[in-house]
Amino acid sequence: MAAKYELNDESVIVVVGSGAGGGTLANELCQKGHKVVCLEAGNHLTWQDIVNDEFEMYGKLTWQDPRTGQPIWIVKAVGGSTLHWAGLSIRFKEYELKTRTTYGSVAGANLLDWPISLKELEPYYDKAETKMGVTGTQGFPRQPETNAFKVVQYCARKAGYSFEMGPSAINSVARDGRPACQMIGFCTSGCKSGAKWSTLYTEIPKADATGKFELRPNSMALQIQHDRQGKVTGVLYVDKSGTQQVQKARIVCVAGNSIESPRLLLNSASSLFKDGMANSSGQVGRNYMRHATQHVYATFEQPVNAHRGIHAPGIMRSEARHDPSRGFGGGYHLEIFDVGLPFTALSVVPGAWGRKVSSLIEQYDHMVAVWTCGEDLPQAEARVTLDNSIKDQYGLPVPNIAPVTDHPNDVELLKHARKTLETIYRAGKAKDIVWRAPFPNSHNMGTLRMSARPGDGVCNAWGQTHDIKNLFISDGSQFTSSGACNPTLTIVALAIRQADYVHEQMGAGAI
Amino acid sequence: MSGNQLTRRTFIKTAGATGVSVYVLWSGPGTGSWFGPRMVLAANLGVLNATEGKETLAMARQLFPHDKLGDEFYWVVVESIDRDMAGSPELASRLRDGLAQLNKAAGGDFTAVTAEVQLEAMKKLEGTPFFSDMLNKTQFYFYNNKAVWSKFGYEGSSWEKGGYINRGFNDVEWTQG
Repeated sequence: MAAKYELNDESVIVVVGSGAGGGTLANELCQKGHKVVCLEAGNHLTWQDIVNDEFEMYGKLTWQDPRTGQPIWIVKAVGGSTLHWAGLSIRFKEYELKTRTTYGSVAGANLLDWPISLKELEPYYDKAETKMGVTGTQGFPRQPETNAFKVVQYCARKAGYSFEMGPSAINSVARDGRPACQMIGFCTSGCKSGAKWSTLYTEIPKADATGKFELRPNSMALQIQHDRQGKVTGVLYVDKSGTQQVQKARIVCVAGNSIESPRLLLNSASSLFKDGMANSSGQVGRNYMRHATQHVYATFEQPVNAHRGIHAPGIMRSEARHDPSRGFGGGYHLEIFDVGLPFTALSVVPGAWGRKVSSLIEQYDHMVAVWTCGEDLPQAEARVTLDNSIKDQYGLPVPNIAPVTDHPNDVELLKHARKTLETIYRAGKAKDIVWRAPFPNSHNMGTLRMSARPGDGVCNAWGQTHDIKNLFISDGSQFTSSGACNPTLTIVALAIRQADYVHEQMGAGAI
Repeated sequence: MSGNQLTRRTFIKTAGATGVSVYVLWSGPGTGSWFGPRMVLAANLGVLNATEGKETLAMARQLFPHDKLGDEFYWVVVESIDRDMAGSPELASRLRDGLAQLNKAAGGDFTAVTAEVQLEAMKKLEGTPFFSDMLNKTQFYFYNNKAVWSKFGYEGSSWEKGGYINRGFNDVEWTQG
């Protein structure tokens, strides 16, 4: 029951992007009776397209348009990064929303408190967890313990630490028209059973069912347009046939991930908005955050078979706290994270060769890996800009992600996390313990951050841009800090909250 | 627009290869396309001559040595690289020149010297575009071969067998105590 709207229909809300932010927001707005056109740059994959093959799916999911600067990984497909995410769903803590107040002034960090408290967010976290079926919350049972979990927890217990299964947005029981997890593995290559929450087969078909929703896949937004007063009026995009179109809009919501969202605003510069749209603060593109991450692998005498089951079965929470006596601000979660042999072989010791690498890979089925998800402090110079020297297939300058070095706080945090993990692994009598540098970032946050004062950021506590009332930021770009939490749950909570606000503001005639 | 591509159906039951069933939620017509490399053992090389083929094989073995695996697993790499070379004259000339350099660094014939001399020769070329190409391509083609996976206990695609929910996702027992 998909809707079909005219290009000149000025009453629609245009949502750019269909991932955790855009997909959720679109559905929430449709449920309230609003008309939504969703422009998604990527393909609309079907169930047949999802296979249990890491490199084949990498080819299908990856955003491969050119960009420069530091390597990152995002998805280009209907559902966005919810196709790839591992499902871990952790709430921000109060101190993580108040980093400037809690950590004080930290040299080299552009810290700022969120203009929103945990108390205000909590009801939306409840709604998000309920929507997504997050295990260990809202009465949803946890998953049964997997091999990888049992091994890591065995080591942790010996060292006086403890992991828990989940919390994961992966069904532990059949619910919401989707089955319970079958422990297929391949979570990050697209979930074949649909047990893992992804907007592709939750929010988007639900929005469709309202009859209010029109999804346009293979439609790349190029520029947001505005009138003389500076209100946005529509979005210029390239449709699936390669033709440029303008979809008129009452409201535009940007949810293209923290790279493409600021890029779109920068590419929307005009005579009225010389430095890019909604950029009176000069903060568009700045304060780009990923997480402070690393992998530590360990091998064991006995088999593990970590590839059987959920990629990221569980986490350790006890170091996710602010305790300056550890030598750094903020904290980290340790997250068990194993991938298949092809990705492991390429990543276990990047760039290395010879027997030291091949002998590790021979222990693939005797191996576990734990990932660090640590708070990354925002730096003003960690930013997304336009690289005018390279144009993409649409003739637009590509994004550049400044190759900034880790903040010293990140460096100390990672050292601590590595030591903790090594202690844990040694307690469990691991054979080899191998550290490796981060994968290309797939947690991308900041770049259009929320702020109480318009001079400090791009949008307010509801994601509404300070400069333009009918322009919203609806993805992880809004984040004022990164926390030590996988971003999706918070993106979803903010999207639900934003939909309430948009609905109320429209009702009041304010936008 | 999305309706005809992805119809929301309730629990389509798909029979798995082993008779185990996996419940899947979504279905559609789809046109699954193949992005990954195809691993077909071919008898002939198109670009590399037989000697160069053997040199490439010897280098691949030294890059990622697995003593328990026979040459046939490394031939897959050679054939894949040969195919890449057929598609790129620039790559072909870089790799052929690189192999010549490798022979020189090994004192004439890379395939005729000891493993120690081979390693020394390879270290001399480390960091060159030739070496990086060979490293990256060998790593990708060797470890993305399904025949190799099972040798290291990786079981590959599992959904058609119902995942691991009834096949050992939690069969580790040594962690008790």
